[in-house]
Formats: sequence, C-alpha cells, structure tokens
Amino acid sequence: MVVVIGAGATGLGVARDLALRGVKVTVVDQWEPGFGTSGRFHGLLHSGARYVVTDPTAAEDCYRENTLLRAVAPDAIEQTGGIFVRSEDDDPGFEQAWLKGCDRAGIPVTALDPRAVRQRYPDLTTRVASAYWVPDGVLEGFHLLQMLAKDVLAHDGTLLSKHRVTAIQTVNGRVTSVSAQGPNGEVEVGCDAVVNAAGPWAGAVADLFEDPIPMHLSYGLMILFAHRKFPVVVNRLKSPGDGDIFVPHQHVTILGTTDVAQDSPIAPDIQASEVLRLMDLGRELVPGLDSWRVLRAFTGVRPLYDGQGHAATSREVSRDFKVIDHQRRKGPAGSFSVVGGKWTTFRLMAERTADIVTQYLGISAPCVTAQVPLTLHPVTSFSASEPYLCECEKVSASQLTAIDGSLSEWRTATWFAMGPCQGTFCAHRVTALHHALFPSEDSGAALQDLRAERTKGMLPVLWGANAREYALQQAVRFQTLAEGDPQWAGNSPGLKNSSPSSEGVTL
Amino acid sequence: MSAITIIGQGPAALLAASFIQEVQQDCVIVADSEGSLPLWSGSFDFHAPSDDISNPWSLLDRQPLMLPAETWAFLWESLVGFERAAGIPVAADIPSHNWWTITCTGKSKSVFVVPQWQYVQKTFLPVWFIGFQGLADSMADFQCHTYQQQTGVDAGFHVLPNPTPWTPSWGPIRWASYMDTDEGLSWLLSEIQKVAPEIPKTWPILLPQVIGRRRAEHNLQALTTALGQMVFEYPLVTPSLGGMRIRDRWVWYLKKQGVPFLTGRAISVEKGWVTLADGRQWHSDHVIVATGGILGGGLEVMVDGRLRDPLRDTVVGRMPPGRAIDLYSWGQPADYGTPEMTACGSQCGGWDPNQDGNGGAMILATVWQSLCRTGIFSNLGSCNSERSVTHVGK
Ligand SMILES: Cc1cc2nc3c(=O)[nH]c(=O)nc-3n(C[C@H](O)[C@H](O)[C@H](O)COP(=O)(O)OP(=O)(O)OC[C@H]3O[C@@H](n4cnc5c(N)ncnc54)[C@H](O)[C@@H]3O)c2cc1C
Ligand SMILES: Cc1cc2nc3c(=O)[nH]c(=O)nc-3n(C[C@H](O)[C@H](O)[C@H](O)COP(=O)(O)OP(=O)(O)OC[C@H]3O[C@@H](n4cnc5c(N)ncnc54)[C@H](O)[C@@H]3O)c2cc1C
Repeated sequence: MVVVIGAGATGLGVARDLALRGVKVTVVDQWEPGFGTSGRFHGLLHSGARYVVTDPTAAEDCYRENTLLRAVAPDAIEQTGGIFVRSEDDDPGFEQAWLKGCDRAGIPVTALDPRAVRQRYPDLTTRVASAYWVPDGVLEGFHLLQMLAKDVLAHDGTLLSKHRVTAIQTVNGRVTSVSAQGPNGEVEVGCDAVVNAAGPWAGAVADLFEDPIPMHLSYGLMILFAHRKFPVVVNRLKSPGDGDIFVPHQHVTILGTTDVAQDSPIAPDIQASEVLRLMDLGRELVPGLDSWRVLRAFTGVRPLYDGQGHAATSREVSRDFKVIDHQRRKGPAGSFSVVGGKWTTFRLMAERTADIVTQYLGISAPCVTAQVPLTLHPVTSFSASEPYLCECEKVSASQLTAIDGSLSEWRTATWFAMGPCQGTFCAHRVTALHHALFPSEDSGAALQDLRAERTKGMLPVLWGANAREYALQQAVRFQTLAEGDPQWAGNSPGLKNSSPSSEGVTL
Repeated sequence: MSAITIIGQGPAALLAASFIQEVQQDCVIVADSEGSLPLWSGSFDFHAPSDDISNPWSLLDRQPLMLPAETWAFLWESLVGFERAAGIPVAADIPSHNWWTITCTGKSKSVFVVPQWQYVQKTFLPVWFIGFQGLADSMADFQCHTYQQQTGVDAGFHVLPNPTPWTPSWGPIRWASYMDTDEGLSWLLSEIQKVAPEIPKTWPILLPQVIGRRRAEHNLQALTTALGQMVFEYPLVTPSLGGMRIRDRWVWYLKKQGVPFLTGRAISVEKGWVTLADGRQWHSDHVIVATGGILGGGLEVMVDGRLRDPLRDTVVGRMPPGRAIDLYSWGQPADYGTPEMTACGSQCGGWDPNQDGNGGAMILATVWQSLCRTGIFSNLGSCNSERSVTHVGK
C-alpha cells in the first residue's frame, strides 16, 4: 500500500500510475482535489515554446507530454493551438534565439503574416512585428482531476478528502503508516511507502520526514474576463515574464500571470496595485483591455523546487521537476517527494515517481499511462424537463444531484456560480438543493463560504460592468435575502471550521 | 421644454415626479432602462441597522440625513398616498414599527411599507410554505427548514407539481402570466385543495410571488375565499413581480397625470441643457439626477478605482486601495455642486441600504432634499428642517 499526500495533478497522477501498475494506493488531501495549485492555474497546455530559451529541459518535457496528453486525454484538452506575437517594442534578438530553441526542442513552429494576424485578431495591438503558430492547447484542469480521481477509484484505490497528514510513523527507519487529521478526528493509514505530492505544502510535508527540502514558492495573479476573446492561446514573444499570456478557457479568457516570491503556501490577499500592474502589462498586447468585461481575479502558488540554492527571482527557477528519495538523504526508507514541474508535465512526473516507488517496493511493472486513455464520464445529460438553476453556466438540478460531493465539488464539477453573475442568482438555489440531499451538512455555512469565495475574486477587479454586478449582488444578498443579518449568524456553528482558511482565490 | 427634467425612472425618479405633478408643475422623465423596481419586491424599508431593528422611529438621528419626525411622517404618508392613488394596495396608515417578512430562503427580514399581497407579521407565527416544482427560486423545503430553525416556530410546506403547459423556460414572469388566466388560477386552487387537509386552518398559506402580474390581489382574494384561509405571497429574487406590479401601476398613473416618459441615454447636463446620446437636447430650469449610482448606471467605476459621473464627466472620488466593500455608499452630494442640478436615490452618496436597511428612507429623504432645492415644496411644507446635507462616501 502506498499513501500519496495531495490530490492535485501530481498526486492523482502518481496514484493513477501506481494503481495501473497494480499497486494499492490511498490519496489523502487536506481538502478536495484541486484545492491547491492544480485548481488555480492558467489553463495552458504548454507546447513548451515558452521555455525553449530559458529552460530547455522543461520545454522538451512539455512538448512531449503535450503530444501525449492530446492522444490519451482528449476529453480534457482543447486543441486550440497558440500564437506567439512579438510587438515592435520587444527585442528581435530574442526572436532568433527562440526560433533556434524551438528547432532544438523539436517544437513545430509556423511563421504567420503579422498583417494577417492583426486582421484576424483585431483586439491585438497594431504593433505586431512578427507572429508564429505553435501547438499550445487548453487544459481543463478540473475535468482532468476528476478523470484521474475516477480512474484511481476504479482501480481499487481510495481517496481520503478533508484529511490533513500530520505525522509519519516509522519502524526501524522504514515508513509504516501516516496519521491524518479529519473532521471526525485522527485516522492512521498503514503503508509501505509515502509519496509527498503536496505542491506548495511539500516543504511542510518533507519536514515530517525530518528531511527538509528547499522550496521556492511564489504566487501568480490571473484576471478572468467574460467571452472567448481569442480562439487561440496568445503569448508574447519575449523572455518569459509577467502578464504575457492570454488563454481562452471555455467561454472566458484568462490573462496571466505575475510572480511574487513568498514563504507561505497560501497566497496573500490580492493587492489592487498588482491588479493594476497586470492590467498595464496586458494592455501592451491588447490596448482595449479596459473595455473587456472583467469577471474576477484569482491566484495560485507555484511549488517550485530550488535545488541549486537561491535563485534571484522565481522566473529563474527551473520548471523542471525532481523526484527525491529521502532515504538517500536524511529521511526514512519508503519516503519520497515529487516537486516542481507544471500541470502539463504531471504524467511524466508521475511516471518517474512511480518508477522509483515500484523499484523500492520490489515490483516490476512498467508504466502504461502513456497508452491507456482517460475518459470523462459525462456527469449526466441535461433533462429537458427541468429549469436551469444556474443560468449563466446552464446547470440544472439533475446535473448537480448526480455528484456525490460538497457544495464546492458541485461548483468545480459543473461551474455553477462561475459565470457573469458570480452566483448572485443561483448560489441560494443550489445551496437549497444541496441541503435536500445532505441535510446534516451546515448549508448556511456552505453558502457563506461560497459567497465569500466569489466576493474575494470580484473585489480586486471591481470596475465597469463587474462593479455594477457586484452592487447588484450585494443588494440581492443583503436587501432581498437578508444574508447579512448577524442575529442569525450564531446559527451557523460550522462557519468557523468549515473550510481550511485559504487566502488564495480559486478559479 | 419642461421646467424640470428627471433623469432615470427608478423609484426615486417616480417619487420625485409624483410630488412635482401634485403641485401641478411640469416635468419630463428620461431614462435609458427600466430602473431597479423589477429587481426587488418594492417593499420600502425605513431603517433596520443590524444592531437595532426594533423601531425605526426611535432611530431617526442615525439616518444619514437628519429630518424631524413630522417630515418623515409627511414623506411616508405621501408615498403611501401616491401608491394608493396608483392602485398599489398598501395600508392607508403608516406603520409605527417594522414588520417581518420571510425571504424565499426562509429568513426573516424587517420591512416597513409593504403591499398587502406580501406576507408580513409582527412576531414569528406558524406558516405553511408552498413551492412550485418548476420555479427555481421557490425552495419550500429549505425555506421551511430555515424558518423553523431560526425562529423556533412550527411551519410546514408542500411543493406543487408543474401545470400541464409548463416548460423549463418558465421564469417568474411566465408563471405570473399563467396565473393571470382563469386556467392558471383554477390549476393553483385545485392543487392547493389537494393538500389543504394537511394544512392547519389558522396558518396562513404562503405562495411564491408569481400569483399574477395584473390580477395578483384578485387571485389571492379568490384563493383566500375558496380555501377559507389567509393566502399571501413571499418575495423571490429577480425578476420580482412585486416590484414590476408597482412599477407598472406607478408609471401608468404618472402618464395619466400627463408626465411624459422619454427613452434615451443622457450624456451630459450643462447649465440646464440636457443632451441625449441620440442628439436630442433641451433646456430645463432644474435637472433631477436619479440615475441610481453604480448599480443604476449613474456612476462608472474605472479600472484604477476612480468613480466617474458620465453626465458631468467628473470624478466623484476614488475607491480606497483594496476596493470599497461599501461601494453602495459612494455617490454625488445632493446639490451636485452646481445650482441647477440635484441628485437623489442611489445616485446620492452617504447612504448604505445594504447595511442599514434604509433603501426606502434613502429614496424619500433624498427626493425631499432634491425637491427642496427646486423650491416646489414651498406650498407643501418647510424645507428648513433639514440639518445635515452632503456626503460623499461613508
Ligand atoms: C499562477 C500559476 C499559473 C500556472 N499556469 C500553468 C499553466 O498554464 N500550465 C501548466 O502546465 N502549469 C501551470 N502552472 C503550474 C501548475 O499549476 C502546478 O505546477 C501544478 O498544478 C502543481 O500541482 P501539484 O499537484 O504538484 O500541487 P497542488 O495542486 O497544489 O496539490 C497539492 C495538494 O496537496 C494537498 N496537501 C498539502 N499538504 C497536505 C497535507 N499535509 N495533507 C494532505 N494534503 C495536503 C493540498 O490540499 C493540494 O490539494 C501554474 C502555476 C501557477 C502558480
Ligand atoms: C436587488 C435589490 C433589492 C432591493 N431591496 C430593497 C428592499 O428590500 N427595501 C428597500 O427599501 N429598497 C430595496 N432596494 C432599493 C435600493 O435600496 C435603492 O433604494 C433603489 O434601488 C434606488 O433606486 P433609484 O431610483 O435611486 O435608482 P434605479 O432604480 O437604479 O434607477 C436608475 C435609473 O437611472 C437611469 N439612468 C442611469 N443613467 C442614465 C443616463 N445617463 N441617462 C438616462 N437614464 C439613466 C436608469 O435607466 C434607471 O432608470 C433594492 C434594490 C435592489 C437592486
């Protein structure tokens, strides 16, 4: 039995890889799949082109995995393609280095006519000097997490949500079990090996192995706009920096990102000044950005591994990943960590990790995740005999009730409350439905959590139509639905201990 | 053109026009959309700050604009009078205290002047909730659970199945138009009659607020008579039939009094000259700006947090870093800083009805403030009693 700590892309990837090799696994997460960075990222299935100059290893990994994932998990990937555009203000020297790098990494690049590009994408700056097509794609993170989790369960694996690993037990220097703290107290899970896939928390988990690892954490801000403003991923052709990518994600567009070093695995509250800076950068590619209908802002924390010691900025830390066998350092036998990497490379990270873990366990079974397809089991089809509860994202009651999960799992699986109204007109409806199915859960607290989460995302980008929407949301909540009435607040005992406090904002 | 132009047709504009036509002055209303009434039930709140919801008459000194009790009484009586003249069923006497109404989520909310179709109570009493299966905002099971849990009083509920013509596209307005037909009413009556034996006779029956757009009172009366039991509505979210009925009747009433309603977007007001986006332009002695603040479209928030008034192309203020949570309280000073213009309703700064539960009072007091400046109250009452005036932000 192997315990995997963390139900992000990496942890679920490792668990699935092991499960497909016949190893019994339990994935433990302090909250739910996608609570960490894997639920708060930019949504780009990298072609690798972004990293060809600064980080060639990561670039090659990305390209290989990009091609592989498009074949094995097509349900979670939109093959949009991407463009790199160099503005007249950007260094033409970089363009040459970049072309060479793409060539070296084997990434196919097609030169485009800058005038045609400007005509085709009128939102772009008129200062496009050159443009190239690359095989970037869009990755539906929550779908892929669900697909991975379902497959783990289908292969005899277990998922233990809302349990935080707090201790690792050893006998004679070998890992024997982990203890996790959950809503009903502590549980102990016996195991032969532990994999730390705790993303930004990996440092804290390594401390439980008594073998610290140098993590380089930084958070990134993203701004989400209504409408699919571009049909392709738009990258700026310059040395990777802030605010240089627009990703079309379903029917919205995400601008990102920034890179601010920090110590905590949880991003701080979003600063207005940083939002303005990201808007300034975005405007360099899209001059009319202020008129786009903004929806919200969110952050994620990069779990980068700083093997070489201290890099000056995290843009300099490799996007490459590392699998650590702690026994070879100061930790107990059977303890492993997998750190760094990208969403795009999660499968490869999982493969390398599982190779080492199976070797330790003395099992010889090859990795099959490059061949075995993953499918999305459609939640349920919409029945024509019921109204939508969430009109923005067209979510009906039967779609929701088919999911056995918390209110936030309902949200990430269906995207209810994620559209232009950010839950103004549906949050109370969905809460009521959830209450009917799970009467013992504190629905008042769950609604408050949902509102707070939406508010956090809307507040930093309170301009234009979004400010009006927010004003309407406030009026509905407080004047129509009496949600602010503190005399009732005492009736929501669950409020304080419901979700782990996260200052970051989820997608 | 008219002596007074009112920009906007939300509740503040309609109230201002009602006062103006009452003294036989001319005014014209121009607006680019329907205003906020279809977004809420139209129950005008006086004051219910979270720390003291008992009696709004005892809290007059905590309102952003200090008016003596007689002026408040005059304003509420006027509102009630206009509503009744327009055919909106509100009680003739102004209340001496707040009432409780029940939200569609089962919470109790304090309200003040409320049309008689909406359920209100003085203390918490047992009630019977009815929901409609195919109406997303009627969630009677949850409503009943919350009501019982929060008040400790007994309550029951039923969810009625959908009528034959129902389709998933039915929203509140379509439901209401069904209830405006004889078929709709008889469907409703027969469905309630099926479950009526389970409902204690003395408990009021509460229905979602879609029991007709034109015939609501008639329907509720018919149900009350047929069932031998009181029947009322509880308000939903949006679109709100309560607010739409009030808006329909109030606008019709003003039109009958000869108030012209123009459709258009004002782009500037300069020395009494009102200019619309389509090129129309006219002069008025006075312009009442009832453009609804951020929500109504009277103020724009810019990317850097500045609040711009598009009519004057001026910046009213700048939201503090981190962005204002109380953006509701931002707005223009009542006097607009220029002699021929005044602001009223949500366009005025200093009021925060989300926190203070004084949305109705805000409309009354700011319309009063505006009209005092036009001089039209000289034959109605004294304007000298107002004490504090200008606010920008809270
Ligand atoms: C702003 C930003 C944008 C990005 N954009 C992209 C992109 O466009 N494309 C791309 O390929 N990559 C992108 N990335 C990188 C990518 O998102 C991450 O590398 C990846 O999601 C990391 O996944 P993970 O599973 O390692 O970590 P996480 O997703 O953080 O998972 C770790 C999990 O461990 C759990 N956990 C932690 N401690 C414990 C404990 N003690 N007990 C139990 N559970 C625990 C957490 O709850 C969490 O769910 C982006 C990253 C950032 C920050
Ligand atoms: C969801 C919701 C619930 C509410 N609940 C309650 C409650 O329970 N109790 C209570 O007392 N009050 C309630 N209110 C009322 C609220 O507190 C305010 O008092 C009210 O909305 C203010 O109305 P107003 O007339 O100032 O503005 P609005 O009703 O917003 O009207 C603004 C008008 O200005 C027009 N306009 C704007 N700019 C221009 C332009 N440039 N040219 C032409 N026209 C323009 C618009 O078209 C619109 O007609 C609620 C409001 C909402 C939205």
